[in-house]
Amino acid sequence: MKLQLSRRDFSLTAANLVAGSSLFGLSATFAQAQKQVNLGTFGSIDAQNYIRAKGLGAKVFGPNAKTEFVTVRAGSEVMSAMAGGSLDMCNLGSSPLVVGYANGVPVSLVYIYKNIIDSEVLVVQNSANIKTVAGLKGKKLGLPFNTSVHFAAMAMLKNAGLGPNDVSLINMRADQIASAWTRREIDASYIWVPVAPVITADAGTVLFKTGDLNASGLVVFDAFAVRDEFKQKNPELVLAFLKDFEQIAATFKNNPKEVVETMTKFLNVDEAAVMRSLNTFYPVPAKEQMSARWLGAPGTRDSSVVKTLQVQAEFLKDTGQINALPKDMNGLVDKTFVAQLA
Amino acid sequence: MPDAAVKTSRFKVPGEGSSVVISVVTVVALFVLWFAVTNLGLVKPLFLPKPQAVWEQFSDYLFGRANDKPLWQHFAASLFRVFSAFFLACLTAIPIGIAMGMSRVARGIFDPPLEFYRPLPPLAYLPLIIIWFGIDELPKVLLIFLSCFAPLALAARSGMRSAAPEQINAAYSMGASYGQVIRHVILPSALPDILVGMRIAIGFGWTTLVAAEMVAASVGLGQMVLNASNFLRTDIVIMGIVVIGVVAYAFDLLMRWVERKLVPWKGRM
Repeated sequence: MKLQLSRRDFSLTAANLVAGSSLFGLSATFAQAQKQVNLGTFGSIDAQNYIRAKGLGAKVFGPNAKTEFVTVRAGSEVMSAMAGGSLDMCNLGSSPLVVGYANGVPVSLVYIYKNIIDSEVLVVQNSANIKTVAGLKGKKLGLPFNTSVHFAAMAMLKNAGLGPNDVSLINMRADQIASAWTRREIDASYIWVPVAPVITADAGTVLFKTGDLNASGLVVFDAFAVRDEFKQKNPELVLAFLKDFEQIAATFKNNPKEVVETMTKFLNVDEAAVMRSLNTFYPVPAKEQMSARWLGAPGTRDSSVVKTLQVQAEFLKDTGQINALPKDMNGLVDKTFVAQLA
Repeated sequence: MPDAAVKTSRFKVPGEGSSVVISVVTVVALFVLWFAVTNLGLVKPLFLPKPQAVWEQFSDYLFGRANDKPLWQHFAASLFRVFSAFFLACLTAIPIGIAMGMSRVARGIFDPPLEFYRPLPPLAYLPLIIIWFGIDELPKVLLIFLSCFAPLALAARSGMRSAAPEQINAAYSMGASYGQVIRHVILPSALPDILVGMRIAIGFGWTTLVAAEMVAASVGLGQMVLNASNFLRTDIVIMGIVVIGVVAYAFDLLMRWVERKLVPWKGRM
């Protein structure tokens, strides 16, 4: 059949289409009267993705909030998305968080998401014949810039007496690292799970773990950041997430079988991959976070976390990645939620 | 050129007249608007930095004061990538496009792969390019080459059709051989289309630059912009965008000039 529209029919149809779409727009604004949570996830084995896999959004945030999952690939993306207001809560490495704070992104660190010990490691090619960290001199090291691994790598090199120009650092996304590794185009990579175990299995050796930095007084951690506007408007939703996060973290550690079953199906990965992520996941209970070793009790200042953030900010300033140091690093940390949890 | 042609008729050709003044006014107005909203504090510098801040980054980069490689190194690396890819595309795509216009065999061979890959976004096949060709210069140039190739080949192909049958038949009836028809009738009429294709292709080349320099680049304008965006340095991002835009625009002006010199018969056949 040939569709023939007279000019009159055409205008009518067009008018209907316009009316229809504006009605649709209305209903969309109406739906937004309900609260919406834009929850970030790295799309791998993390608590947010577990909530998505199990469809627990309504259970965590209550029936009046709609959960929208936003998949991000790196901490710097988390900061851009929060600056633009399209992401409310997500975990990220401390280094991109400091960069965001220094550039005036209105965010707060409300919780220590996990302690990074062996989930981020330096892997070297067996063929590259690198025996110590100092042996990296003149080698090609692939890693994603402005992430926790970038910071850890720079601190590691500094401790080994190497400057940023002694090693050829190559900015690569995590997914590019695996293919560059297989082609032996990089000699080493400082990267996180799940890429690290994959390249270690492919003729690689782990030479350094982020946890090794603890010896020099540095704690590298993943922070849970919340957009300030969201935090002020919906403190109960932030608290609700953190409460469930503590439970999920416990499930990750105590009942891995159930998590493995859920995540292998959801992500279509094998059991070993999930177990590796779970084994390198170190949550810090809220009670412990109240000690001066982490966030510190409410009212106190300059806890270990604040000091670490300060060191990172100075480091970023030295390497020219931020223009100016934030006036007061304490302003980034909001301990009220942890205090309510403990 | 004679001063403004004497008007003998009140009838106008649509779109006639110079638009230079209007363009200049538009650019100045946009710049003033930018200056005003940022200096009045209506927009936070994270979203749109002041023109002064962008200028400062530019001069820092220009004189190597920035904590990065100087601008000319980024510039040279990107220019090399874009122009070597563009040059290779001209060498390969134009003959292939001409062949596609001239022979049904060539058209049959090249049409499916060309039309298949042409609409694909470069970021979609980027992972494949990395796995196949590694992370050195080759994959970067190749990615830009691919984005230049298709528009150039298609322009050359469609250009081969732009000679009117009357012109071809007239040449035949005056005793021209097949080769002479192609050399003296079809190619000259295809040349304007090929030049337009080259302008479009170099535009695509600059568009793909940032995607190409996502592949483990340590130097290059696209890499500079990407890295700055990782660190939320909007001033450097805008500076890099302006540099890329100005270079691409300057090259386009050059191509327009070449076009006027090389094919004065454009649109008058």
